Amino acid sequence: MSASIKDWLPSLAQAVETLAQHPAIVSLNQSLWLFSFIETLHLLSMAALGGAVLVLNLRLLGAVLPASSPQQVERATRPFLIGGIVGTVATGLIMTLATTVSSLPSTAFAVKMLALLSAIVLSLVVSGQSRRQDQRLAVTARLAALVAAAFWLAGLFLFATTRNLGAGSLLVASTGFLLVGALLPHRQRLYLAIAGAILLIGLGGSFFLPATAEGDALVVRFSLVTVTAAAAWALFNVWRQAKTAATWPVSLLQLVAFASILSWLTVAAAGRWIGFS
Amino acid sequence: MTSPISDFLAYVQYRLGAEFDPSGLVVPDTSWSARLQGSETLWMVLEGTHVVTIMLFAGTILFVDLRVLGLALRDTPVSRVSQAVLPYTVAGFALMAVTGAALFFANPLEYFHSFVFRLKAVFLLLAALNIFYFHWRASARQHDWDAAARTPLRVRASAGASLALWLLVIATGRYAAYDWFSCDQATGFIAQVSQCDDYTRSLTRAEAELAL
Repeated sequence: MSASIKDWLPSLAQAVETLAQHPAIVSLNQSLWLFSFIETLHLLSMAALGGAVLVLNLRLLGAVLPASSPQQVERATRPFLIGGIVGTVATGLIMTLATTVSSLPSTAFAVKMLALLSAIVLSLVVSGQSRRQDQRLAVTARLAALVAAAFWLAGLFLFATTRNLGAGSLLVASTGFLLVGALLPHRQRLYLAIAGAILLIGLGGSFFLPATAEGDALVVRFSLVTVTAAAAWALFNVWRQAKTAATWPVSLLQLVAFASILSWLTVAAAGRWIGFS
Repeated sequence: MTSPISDFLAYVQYRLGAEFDPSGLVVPDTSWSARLQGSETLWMVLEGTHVVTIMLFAGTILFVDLRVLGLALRDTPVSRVSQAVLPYTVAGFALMAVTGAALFFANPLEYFHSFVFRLKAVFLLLAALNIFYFHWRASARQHDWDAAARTPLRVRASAGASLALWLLVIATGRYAAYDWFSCDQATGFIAQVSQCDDYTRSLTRAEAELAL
């Protein structure tokens, strides 16, 4: 059994397939111009969403706009976060309905849905918390973030372990290290070197690999090792900080902000890989 | 007469790094360009990175332009927003430029003669000129309006042009993936602007040297 929405939720997939038979959707699918217009709107919504997610989460991580409060930054980014989510989900839904034959059985689409669920919840937790003066995460927010992070990691591992998709997960892993490098100036070289090594070995190496199942199996193995190592490294740092840091609640929100950036990146990367697969 | 640029791009696409058979003809799909196009994983990652980086590049420049337009972060001085956010925009642009150049390298002759790609190049050039205009002209005496919620008209016009041009770059980039205006299909004005005659001549010459 493959990992896809069609396998996990057959009744939902059937309902979507029925909806896809609607004349408006059928004509959309037949009109390349209209479909490409929806695709362009999807990209533009993604840009607005990306800006809102990055600016707010980087503020919480202390990387940008330190003189502006999280409340101010949240207020400024909110219309674009909401508009971006509504825009990408609405255009994405239309695109999915027009391509049910390829999207519903696609593992990349399943990865995207897992990461999307996670990214929306993490963004809601980050936004909700930024609006308050108190930076301590409530128990419900912690629980929601924990479940969302589990969904994201499940999606990321599915991304890394699926043939023809594995390389997409390398983007997420290397971005994670690049981001940490950007946030920690004293260890910048180490993290930039790790991200560079992932890109050089994974991508440079893949240029010389044959476009065969064996070549792809090597990419998948490398992706799985990289993503597992990155996740283990992240968990180790969380455990170490939980044991020592006095400012744990604030750091917990920063972790959620970090996971939020990467989960949105997973959504975008998996979305691109739907087209490839 | 052929165009030297088209001939050079045909050389890059078909001959650079290629293997030759004993009669001196090019073995198809062995040039570096063709191998990049055929190396599924690397090509997918380059293309995927190029698209996903829109979130970093366009997303961050959006907030700088919105601040200049007085539509977001009005309480924060323009210089503070640009100093904080622009390094991420520049990093995103560098990544898009590198991946974009690699994608162009994988199919240079067709991209160069694609009408939509040429439109994208024009919008990119205008966006670059707008950046120069903003830094050397529009932002003169920035200390006078840096903290103001409403910036001078010339500054807002430049920020508005930036938003519009990057939007057009993204849109034309998306449409460049379709072959509606490629030289294989283009006629009349589109074919003229795309210099499709040069494309056909260079392609014919390159294909004549292939060992088929």
